[in-house]
Amino acid sequence: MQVVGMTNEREVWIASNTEKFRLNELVIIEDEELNNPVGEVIETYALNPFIPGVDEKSSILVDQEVVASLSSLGYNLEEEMIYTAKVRILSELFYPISTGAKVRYPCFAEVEELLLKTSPDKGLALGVILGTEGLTASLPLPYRRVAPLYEKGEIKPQTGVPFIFDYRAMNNYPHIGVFGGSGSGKSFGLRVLIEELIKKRVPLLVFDPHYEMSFNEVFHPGLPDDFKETFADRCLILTVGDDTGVKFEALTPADLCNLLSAVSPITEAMENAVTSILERGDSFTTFNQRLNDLMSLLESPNDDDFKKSFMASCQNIDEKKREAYLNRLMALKKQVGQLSTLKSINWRLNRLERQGIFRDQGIRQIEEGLKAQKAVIVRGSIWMLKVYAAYVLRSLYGKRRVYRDALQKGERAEEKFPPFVVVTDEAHNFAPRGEQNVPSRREIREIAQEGRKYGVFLVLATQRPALLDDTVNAQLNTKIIFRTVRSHDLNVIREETDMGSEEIKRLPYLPSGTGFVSSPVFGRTIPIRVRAAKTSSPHQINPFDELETVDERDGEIMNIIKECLPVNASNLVDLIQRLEACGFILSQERIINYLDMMVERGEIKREENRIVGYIYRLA
Amino acid sequence: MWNVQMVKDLRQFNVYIKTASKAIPHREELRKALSLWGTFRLGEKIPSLKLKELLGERTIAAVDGSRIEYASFYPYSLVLLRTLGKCTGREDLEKSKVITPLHAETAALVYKKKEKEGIGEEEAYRLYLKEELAHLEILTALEIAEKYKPCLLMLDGGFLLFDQFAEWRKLYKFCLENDIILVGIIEEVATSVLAKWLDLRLDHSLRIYDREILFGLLDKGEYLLFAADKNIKKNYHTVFARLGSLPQAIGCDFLAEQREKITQAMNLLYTLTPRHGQGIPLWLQITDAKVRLRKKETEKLIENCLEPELRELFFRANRERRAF
Repeated sequence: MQVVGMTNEREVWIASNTEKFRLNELVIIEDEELNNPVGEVIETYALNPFIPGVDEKSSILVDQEVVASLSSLGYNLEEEMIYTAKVRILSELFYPISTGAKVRYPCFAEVEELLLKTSPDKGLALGVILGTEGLTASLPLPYRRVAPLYEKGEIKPQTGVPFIFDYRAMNNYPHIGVFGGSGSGKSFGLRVLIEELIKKRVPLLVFDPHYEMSFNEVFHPGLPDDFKETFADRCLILTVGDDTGVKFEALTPADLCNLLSAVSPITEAMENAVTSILERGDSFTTFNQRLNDLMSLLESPNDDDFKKSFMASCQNIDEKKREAYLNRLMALKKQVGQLSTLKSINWRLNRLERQGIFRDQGIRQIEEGLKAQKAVIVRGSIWMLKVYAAYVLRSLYGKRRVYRDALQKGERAEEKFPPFVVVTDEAHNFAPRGEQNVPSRREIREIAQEGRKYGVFLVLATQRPALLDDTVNAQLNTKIIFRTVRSHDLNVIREETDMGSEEIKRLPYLPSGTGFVSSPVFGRTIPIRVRAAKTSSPHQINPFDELETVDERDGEIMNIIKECLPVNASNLVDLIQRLEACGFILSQERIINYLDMMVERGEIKREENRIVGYIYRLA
Repeated sequence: MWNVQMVKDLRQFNVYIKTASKAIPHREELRKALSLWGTFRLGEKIPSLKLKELLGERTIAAVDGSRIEYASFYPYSLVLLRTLGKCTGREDLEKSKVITPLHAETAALVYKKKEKEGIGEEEAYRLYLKEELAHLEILTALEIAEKYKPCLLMLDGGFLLFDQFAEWRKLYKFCLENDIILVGIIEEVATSVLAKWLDLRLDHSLRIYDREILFGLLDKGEYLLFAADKNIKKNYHTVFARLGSLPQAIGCDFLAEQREKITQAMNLLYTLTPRHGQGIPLWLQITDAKVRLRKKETEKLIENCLEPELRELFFRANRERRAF
């Protein structure tokens, strides 16, 4: 192996007639004057000068017989291969490398510094670095069994140097972006990243719009025993509207406006109205009551009529209080003005209520989870999470900020609040680029810009980096990029990372689970293969498989049907009654459907009768 | 680019050679006439398995050389010679030499040649280079023969090119003693003996070369072996053969003492030649491709080894700096 052709201080060509070069592998170029720099193979080629290319006329190799004759004489034409590769130098040089310099493969110790920034117990073992397969043999023991791989449905032992992300370096280079299209391994990569963070007991707040983030099932029975691990006890799964919600009493007018605008954009008049109507300490009931009363007031033909009916309606309340309330309504009427504004607020409010977002529990559970250094997984539809995330993030980020600021100023903080990492998939929904007003964007932007100061970090995954807010995107110091096809997204990646054009060119063709990590922690783009996950997502069944399988319920119904055979299709009354008795209420069509399905499966047969139509019997 | 006179002259030349080529008899006549002087035989492709059996541990070897010049004009010339001996399944053997008439010793040799042959100095130099390369090839061939004792040793070119050197005798002897079939492969046949033998004459004074007679004469895989007393040059046995698909024949020189080996040798050569193409055994083609010095590489090498001022002083021609 040696350096050939014209060189410069950044790239060289190397050639060999025995070694096949492998993409991304590291080589040492023996140029004493330049301290034997290390390079990474970024393009590879092979050529046999005796096998002409398609554009050449010469046909010296067409005759396979001659080749066979020569091979029987001990000469293999295939051995005349010339392998060449383009190599990017990983250190900064000031002179070009001398042509003809020898090239060799390194052992692990020689390149350790370039590949590992921390040890597996101190960092996140996310996978292996591609192109380091040759270093497996010289790898020290503690690095050998941290990242088994998953390939074609099977678990394979780790080959190559593990990729260990120093999450502590996020203090200097905060936030992580995980990009990749569907099927690129993005979700898998995100899962592995979360697993590692959970293992390190980093408090996590995970927004889970896909209901797929649970960590209590073993991913694959083939995983090595010392690697198997589940995290049920370190996770807290909450669903918005069921287990968690917004505490209405704690809402500021701005919060409430945000929530309302998440249902549907609101006008300035509506914002003013909310600000006027909402009082400190309002519960949902009191606020809703006031709003409704105000609407009645505006609806009634004149104020006196309303006053009369109002005073008459609630005799049991102290008269003075009633009057004060009435006066307040009168004052509000002047400020608010339009009935339509109130109606608009009302329907948005009711929708939020119906979704269960104003649960009394509030976010206390989330806080407790974070304080216990757990992964708090918040589930809900995208729509719901968008609304909820803004509120939760502001609230929690606020608490953390208050705590840190107090520490900074040397004051005694009232409540200790830990640093935490916010993780979300479909991040472009939470912080979209563009004009439309999305409540969560402001919070995510703020954390992106200032979170580092307070120890709050983001892990944002999306399949459309081009749709992610620019400010946020620019703050994602580390980016893990899986297969990406869209040119818009590729452009964003080109602008926002240090990836070279060779790597960008590879992005549309990356196999699932293979990606590039672009991070200032490493100072260069690292190709990785994500390790096998320890846990799996609950819904990995193909929905089309679901269609073909018969579930328990179907089985029971079919058994009952079998018991009642023979039946005739025009008179199913008995069968219907029998099924109803067993708790299955089915229409006639559904029953015929079941019958036909059983015929198809060969369990029963169908006969045509001229008088009564079809008769079904046991086969 | 061109003018009317040029076109006229070229057209006239076309008529001239057309007439001349018409004087060559038809294929069948030629074959009939030539069969009085020798026999037409058909080569046999040897199957791989049988080939192994036939050769046993022995091998096939080829020697070829390459010459490249880095020069402005005589005597500012730097010539690299390289020869390669390649033996199947064995390690290659390479030799090389750098020659320049700027060297006093070389200049003296060139001068001697000029006096002896009575030719110009530059021409003498060209001849000297040609001989030096042939000499180096013979040295390589001898070493290959001694080291590997192949079954068949191919030289690139006819025996006349080599037999003036002292080492030729050595090689000759060694090959006979060790049962090495020595063959000189001639890609471009440039003799003009057949016309004389066949008593072919032209109205004009144009000479008929063997090349024209051989063109299209042979079937694929066929070769023409002359009777033992009919030698084209010296007492070597020259065989004309068409081993590939192209209609032009190549020449193969054999030693008189190895006449009875010719059939086996021709079958071997035919086996090692691709069906399509110009009919040169692949092994020789590979050797040729491997030994060839390429202009770009050579320039790089020389530029790396010679200091820029010296290069400028000796080898940079003014015409290289022409703008148009």
